[in-house]
Amino acid sequence: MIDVFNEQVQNVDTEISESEGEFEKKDISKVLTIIWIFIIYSESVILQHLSSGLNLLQSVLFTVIVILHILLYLHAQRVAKYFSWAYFVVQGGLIFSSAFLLPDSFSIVLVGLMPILVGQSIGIYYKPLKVILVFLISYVLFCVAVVWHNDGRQFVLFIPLFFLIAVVIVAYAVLFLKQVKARIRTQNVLKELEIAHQKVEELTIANERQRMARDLHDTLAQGLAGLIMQLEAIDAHLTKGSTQRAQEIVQQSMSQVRRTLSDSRRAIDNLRSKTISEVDFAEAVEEEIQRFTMATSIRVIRNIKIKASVPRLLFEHGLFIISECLTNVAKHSHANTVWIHILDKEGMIEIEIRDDGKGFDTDIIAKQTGHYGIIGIHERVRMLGGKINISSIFQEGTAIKIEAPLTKGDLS
Amino acid sequence: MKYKILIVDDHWVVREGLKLVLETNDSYEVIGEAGEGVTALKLIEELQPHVILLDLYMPQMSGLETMKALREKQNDTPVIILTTYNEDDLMIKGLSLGAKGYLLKDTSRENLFRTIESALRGKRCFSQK
Repeated sequence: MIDVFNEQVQNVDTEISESEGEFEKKDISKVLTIIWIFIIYSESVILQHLSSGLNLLQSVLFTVIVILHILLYLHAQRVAKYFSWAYFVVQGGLIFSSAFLLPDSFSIVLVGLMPILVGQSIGIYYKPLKVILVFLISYVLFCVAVVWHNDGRQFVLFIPLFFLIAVVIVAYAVLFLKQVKARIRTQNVLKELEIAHQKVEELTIANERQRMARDLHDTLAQGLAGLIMQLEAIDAHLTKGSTQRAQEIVQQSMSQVRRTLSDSRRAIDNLRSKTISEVDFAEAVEEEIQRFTMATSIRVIRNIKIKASVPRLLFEHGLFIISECLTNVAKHSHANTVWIHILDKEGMIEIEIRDDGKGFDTDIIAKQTGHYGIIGIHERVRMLGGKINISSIFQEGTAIKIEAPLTKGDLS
Repeated sequence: MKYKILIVDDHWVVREGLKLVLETNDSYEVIGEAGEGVTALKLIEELQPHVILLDLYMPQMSGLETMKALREKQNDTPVIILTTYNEDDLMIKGLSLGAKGYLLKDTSRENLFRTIESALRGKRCFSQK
């Protein structure tokens, strides 16, 4: 019986692929319906046998009709997809003719099998008019059979009973289908969420790649460019014979190369994040601030107090968020000062990056994919199991506040 | 007379390197440096350099944006783009904004001086790479 709902599942939304669970459910529902048909079959044969006897021909024909009914039922989806009306006509005809084969059991056959057909029509059509039509035709066939057999007592008993069973099945089918529809909607929402999540992950990866490129640009490329210039200067001084100045620049270059190497090492370590040794979070933030102040003329006022050890995941995402926020400040804010507050208390870390820039419309910016990396920041905060609050006032500045647990996400 | 040069690059290491190279030529004097476009525009107005060595990728205001702002102010101080990457579209954009040179940062000092001299004469000169 329940299989009609599975048919409806397919009719309502073909985009949703059937999961293993749905297949199992469909199989169970089919088995239950077949058991039900078998019970009706057995009861009809026994009753006929006990009442006025059952000859071999009757018994064989009835068995063949029931087998055909079951086979057609098993392929209902395929048949009804192309010939829905033919399916109901043939099934109705089979049930109706089987009822005439067993005159003493016709009411059991009709009351037992016809309502199933009505219920199936909901699954296949899910249109009130067509379902009512199937119901009326079944009901008329049932009435005809009762009148044909001229059994007044059964007429009084079974006609309301048929009506009652059919109404119960229809009500149940409608209710169940509503649940199925709700489930499909939920699945659709989940699917959309999954796609959105994938997109966010892709953006996060793209952001990571950009960060890597930027790190390489800021460390190796610029360091080497600077070194070449220093070597050029040394060469020029040596050519002119001013060895003392050349030596001074050599000393300066050596110090510069060491710094470039250190920066490059840190950038490479970031790429191999799972194997890097424990680095102090405050120190890493300080380096980020140093880079920012060297690249811009924006003043940074910091208050970093971290006593607890910072888990790897929080380290990586926290540093990325700070870097992203500072990049936004440099690129878009036109700020003069940035305030960075990082504190840990009661198992939580609080990161606040505030500027006195021009501000932005948080409603618009947050919805623009790829703008300001806000989506990436949100996603990272979500991965940390934290909370984020972005407030921005036009011509006054922006404040991004993040709270995340210190316990979550240790990869090591 | 020494020609006044302004260096605009967001990387301190590059600014230092350029200063060291330029000090080897007595004709030039580095009169200022900036890490991004907004500060550069202020310094250009204040110091009135003869030549500007300008990086393209910078925070807050990029090199191309700085050049646009400069042209909008009717300031025709020669600009030499000095960048890490050899990108045709950037070179074309730089040219269309009136750049007098497009050099890679690993260029030789001779090439750098030649380009500065050409720029001072109002001519264009580009890196061989």
